[in-house]
Amino acid sequence: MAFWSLKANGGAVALLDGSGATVTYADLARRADELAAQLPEHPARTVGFLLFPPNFDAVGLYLGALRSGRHVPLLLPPGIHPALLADLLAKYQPDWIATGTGSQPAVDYRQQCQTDSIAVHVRSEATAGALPAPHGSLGLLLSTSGSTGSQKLVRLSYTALDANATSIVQYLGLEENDRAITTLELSYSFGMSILNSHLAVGASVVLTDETLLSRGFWDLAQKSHITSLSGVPSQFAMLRRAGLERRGLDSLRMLTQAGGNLSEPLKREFKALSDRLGSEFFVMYGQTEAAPRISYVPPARLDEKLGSIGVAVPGGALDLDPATSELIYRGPNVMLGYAESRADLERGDDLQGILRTGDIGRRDEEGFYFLTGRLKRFIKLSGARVNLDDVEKMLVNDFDTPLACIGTDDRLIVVLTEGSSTTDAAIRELLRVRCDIYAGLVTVERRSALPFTANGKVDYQALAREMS
Amino acid sequence: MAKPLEDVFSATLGIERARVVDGLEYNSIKEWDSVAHMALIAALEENYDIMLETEDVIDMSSVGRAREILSKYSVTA
Repeated sequence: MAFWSLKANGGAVALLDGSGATVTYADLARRADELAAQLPEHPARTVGFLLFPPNFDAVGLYLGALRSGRHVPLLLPPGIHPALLADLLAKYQPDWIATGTGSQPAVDYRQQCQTDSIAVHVRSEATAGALPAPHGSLGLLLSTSGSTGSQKLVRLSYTALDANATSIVQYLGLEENDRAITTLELSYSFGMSILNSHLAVGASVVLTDETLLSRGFWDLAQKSHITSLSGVPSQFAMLRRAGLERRGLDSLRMLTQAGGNLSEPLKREFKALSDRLGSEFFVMYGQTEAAPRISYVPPARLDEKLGSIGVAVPGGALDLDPATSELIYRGPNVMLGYAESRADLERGDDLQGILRTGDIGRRDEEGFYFLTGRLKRFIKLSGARVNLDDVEKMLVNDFDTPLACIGTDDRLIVVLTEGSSTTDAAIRELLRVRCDIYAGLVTVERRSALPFTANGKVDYQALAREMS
Repeated sequence: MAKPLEDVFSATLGIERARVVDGLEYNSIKEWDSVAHMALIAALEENYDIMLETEDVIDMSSVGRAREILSKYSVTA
């Protein structure tokens, strides 16, 4: 039974929030269907944007869209940059847009309904022409990156969403007494998967937009008796600063980490902390393209497999390309394919359950996988995937100066030549405004000249060696 | 010699010094999110040569609160 069927004991609590309010499974199913009824009756299958704040109605609409089998939402962060939203609106011409109340409706859309916490806007009839309809198996759209301007969307089927939630329930051993709390955007595949997997097993989720560094978050987490905490690498540094051990989380039974490589010292520290607290620490790997979970390290093996991404999730299989050592994942949770336009939403299953991850890996004698590099130049900054080539192209176009971008997870390095008149501050400012990259994660370096390979391309490996 | 509190906030958050007022709250502007807050904590510790307690880290909810908290560490902020 898929998580959106909400078939748990109807009286069980599904959602809680910071005000102390709760929503039962029966309430949530009713709310979901009522909200979905506000979405357009025509065409038969619609595409919408859900700017997804952590509140009851937004979760209700998300589930209502899935339950309807007719409405395909693209999940977006509530604080999405207006320029980015405008670009997506132009490309995908959604039939409806749901936003937090107070958000300004887009032109060409009229407000259909408003609740305490969300407003639904539908395309006005005047501009509603015959647009390409989403394929029948398409259930949800996610963005691959919050920011870098490459607006490739991931097309996920109903089957993929259901399968991944079920896998996660299985390997984490989730039960109906479990309770998560939002620490990540619900529009981010990791954040979404926490919600999905908890609903799949009749467990509950606390919705909050407070952060790991605020007193309000920890008071709520303690009062709600949460059983798990999840984060990307930068958030584990926050958990350490916030003194997780002193936060009085008596019911905590697991920590889960994904969204990029966590440093080995932090892995060791949180493994030891989990042991002291009597909880489990799951190190996991995934991609939005796999809805998102691909592999995990069984907690009991973490000490001896510290640098590993683990083994495939239940129902999936990992392998290496014999020629390139690229990590290949096969499973029911693999996306249908990418979309770069509304017309692409008509496409069916392009990938046939086979995902080339773009990561290069190796496998040890016990079948555990390790990442050793990437085919393409991606890094993760605060969990968001950043394509170094895209960022570099944007900076070169704007500043018209020779430069190169390299980096590792949570550190973007921009290398300029010494003769360049472009200031460090200007680089940081543009990255912040245009790509939403926090200046503290950016290092600007200057070299007398950029190194080039024999065939005239920037020699990124030589640069990386110089910088390390 | 420690820099003024306003300068540390302004430089770390990348905002104009004039915007650094006691009423400015954590998470109320895009520039002061949790990632920036981590950098801010580190910058304050370095500037005043102190180690902030975890309780103080999670209570530092505004510029004004930061000023109050720092006064406990016998520094002039």
